[in-house]
Amino acid sequence: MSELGFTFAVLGAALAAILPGMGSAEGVGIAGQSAAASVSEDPSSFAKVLVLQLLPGTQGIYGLLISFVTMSQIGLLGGDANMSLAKGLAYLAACLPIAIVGLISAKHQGRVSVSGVQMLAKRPDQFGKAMIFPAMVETYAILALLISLLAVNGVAGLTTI
Amino acid sequence: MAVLNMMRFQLCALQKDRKSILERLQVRGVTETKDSEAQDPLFFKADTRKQYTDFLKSAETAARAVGILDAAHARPKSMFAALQGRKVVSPSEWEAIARQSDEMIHAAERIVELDKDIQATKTEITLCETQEAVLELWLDLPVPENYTGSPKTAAFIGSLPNERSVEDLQAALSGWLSEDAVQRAHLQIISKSPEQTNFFILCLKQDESVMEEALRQMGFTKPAVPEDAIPPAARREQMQSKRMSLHASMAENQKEIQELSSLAESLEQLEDYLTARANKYQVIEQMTQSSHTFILEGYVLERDAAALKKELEGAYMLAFEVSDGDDDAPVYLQNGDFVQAISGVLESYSLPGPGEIDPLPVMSVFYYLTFGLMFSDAAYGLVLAGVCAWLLRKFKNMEQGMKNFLQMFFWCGISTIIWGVVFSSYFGDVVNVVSRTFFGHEVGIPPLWFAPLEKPMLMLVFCLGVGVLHLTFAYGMKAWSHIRRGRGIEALYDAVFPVGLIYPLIVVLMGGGIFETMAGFKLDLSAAASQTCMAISGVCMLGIVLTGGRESQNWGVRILQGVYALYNQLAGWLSDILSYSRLLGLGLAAGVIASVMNSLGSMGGGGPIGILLFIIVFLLGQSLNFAINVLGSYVHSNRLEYVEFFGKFYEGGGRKFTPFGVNTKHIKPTLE
Repeated sequence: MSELGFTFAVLGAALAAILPGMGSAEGVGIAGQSAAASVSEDPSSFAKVLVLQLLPGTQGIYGLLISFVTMSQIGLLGGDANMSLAKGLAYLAACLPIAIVGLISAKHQGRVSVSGVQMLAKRPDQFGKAMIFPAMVETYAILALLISLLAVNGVAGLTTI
Repeated sequence: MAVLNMMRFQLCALQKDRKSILERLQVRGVTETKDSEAQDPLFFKADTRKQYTDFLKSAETAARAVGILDAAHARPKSMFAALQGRKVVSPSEWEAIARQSDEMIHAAERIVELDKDIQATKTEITLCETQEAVLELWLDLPVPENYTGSPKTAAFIGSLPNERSVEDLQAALSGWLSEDAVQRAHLQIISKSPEQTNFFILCLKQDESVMEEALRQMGFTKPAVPEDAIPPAARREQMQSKRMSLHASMAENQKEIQELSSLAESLEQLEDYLTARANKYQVIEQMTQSSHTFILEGYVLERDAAALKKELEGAYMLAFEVSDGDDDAPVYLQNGDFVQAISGVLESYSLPGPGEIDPLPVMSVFYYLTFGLMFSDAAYGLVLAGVCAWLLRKFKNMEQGMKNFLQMFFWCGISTIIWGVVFSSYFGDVVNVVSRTFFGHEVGIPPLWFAPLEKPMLMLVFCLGVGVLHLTFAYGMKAWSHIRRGRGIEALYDAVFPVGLIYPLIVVLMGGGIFETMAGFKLDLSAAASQTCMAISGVCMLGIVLTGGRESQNWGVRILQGVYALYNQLAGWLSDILSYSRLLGLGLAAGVIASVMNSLGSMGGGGPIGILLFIIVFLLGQSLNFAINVLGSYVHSNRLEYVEFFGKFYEGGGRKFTPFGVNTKHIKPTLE
């Protein structure tokens, strides 16, 4: 049994929390600046622009989710922490989809949210459409989440490596 | 129920009844008027823009007055103000508002004027304060700042940069003036700061020009003062008393506004009344009129047409003709509560275009289904449905839009409860965690079907299956709308071929090994059945290749376009079906994050501190997860409808039926 395998698995869990978190922080951040500007003009738009600001925040949550599932599977939260190098690397690889796609999609979703807020400032009645554009970007984060989730679960079930 | 039939109407009546008829139509609120063309030189169009803008302006004044009153004296507002709906007003109360309108307009104008005064006074007070601050620097000066001296002396009053003492000044001046002249002059520092020194110099007339040149070289500036200035101390006193009186008059105005603050509600009603009057003039402008008659055109629902005709013909001498609607006709949807609740989601996209079918019935079922699958926690669903049901019961008078919105979340909540029970999620795994941590013996509620986290692949297959079903209904809608328009053959091309293409493939796939490892079961297909499926699919593919480019006359181009259409179909099916994997992704995310919160909370162990920690973390964590997942489920349910479902058949582009009525913000006039 290699101790390095466990280290790589923890690295995977850490990346799943770090990268999408960074992306979401940036996405929610830029959307928030735009939202604040919009609310300064029209305070009644607060609830709507808040929703738009929050949309790029989900990647961070997805990352947290994968990170937590990984930590609990590898026994970091109590349990047996031994694994082979190959298995540890497999965990790391399983975390990568949400880590990388989460980071990039959250940034882009943030930009679309900014545009949505600006659109809402001009056409307050078009909330439904303003909300759908950022949701399009999120699709890819969800797909990555799905693959990471299935992969982490799959690696946990492997007995041959 | 569906899209209600919209009829056109033409009303021709006498001028003497115009006011009364319009008022009746306005309160009924069942007709949408449109501009009519004057086709005969006998008829003319009235220009009512002035009356219209006058009423709107007064309405704006009333609204501004309300804003001023509210700023001065906040009215107690309930947390649920948005849910309470408009106050219902009886015809006699409406009359009373009309009677008092002139008086109230004066009150509104008075309030706006008072506010204007207050703002002006505030500016003036600030001005006084700045001037007083400047005078503060010159208080010790016994003469006005523009004093130039006596017949034998010359005075210099002003400032030099930097802080200087009398000695500094004398030393600086001796560079230009003789020692004698410097000693002869009276030098007094009035005030000084690190930036500048303010002083008073009195010298003999004979030294004046040299002194002036010396000071100029040193950067001398004179203070700006009015010509008839009196000494600074006296001026400051004047300024102070002026400021006091300004404060007093402002306080008086503010008091008057406070006294008028009880009018806020009446002024809101006035605003509504005036807006309604303005709308009436808009309609008058749409009419064509002659000296004794007028013609009004527009739309009315078939449902209301007969009753309206009867009512109008019973009360007035007029002609009310109804004919079939045209392509410009606005759209009005009517369904039961369960279906109509999601009309807001449809309106955010677009209402059905002319001749299109109402997608709401199918859409609503799948909307609730997909929302429930994504939120998928019985406890969350119970909270959501419970809160909505409570609000709906408590606030009976709420506006229709809000009511629909809450009803929609109520049904979403019910669906969430069902899926939560099916997949066993109650605040995630709170039952297991609590029983394990605090009672030392783990119990859990078994799922009705299976736990998605244990069999994620089966769940994925199920979610994609929901997607296939949803998309099939979309093609069904497409077929139905073709058939309704009498284009049955197009239904074959655009709906039957695509569905016939994919279903046999799915069946074959379900007989294969990949499917078995994912779902845990498979179809036992005989080789013949398999081949039949492939054959059906092949025929449909051929059908798409032959008909996909049917707009084109050239067969070569047509086939090429057909091949491209086939490629699009296959790629479209694949990406559309895979898009439903978000049901799994979001569903798992909701449950797993809830479980994460539970594990975090249980880290304090089973003691009293552990219980306290658990309660705090549970409340905070679950609320956060609830909020994020309601938002996510709402957004992605919308997306699945807008992109995957509507993309197959829905055109939209309809205009919402907006009847000529009493469009009020604060009160709701009734007939009885």
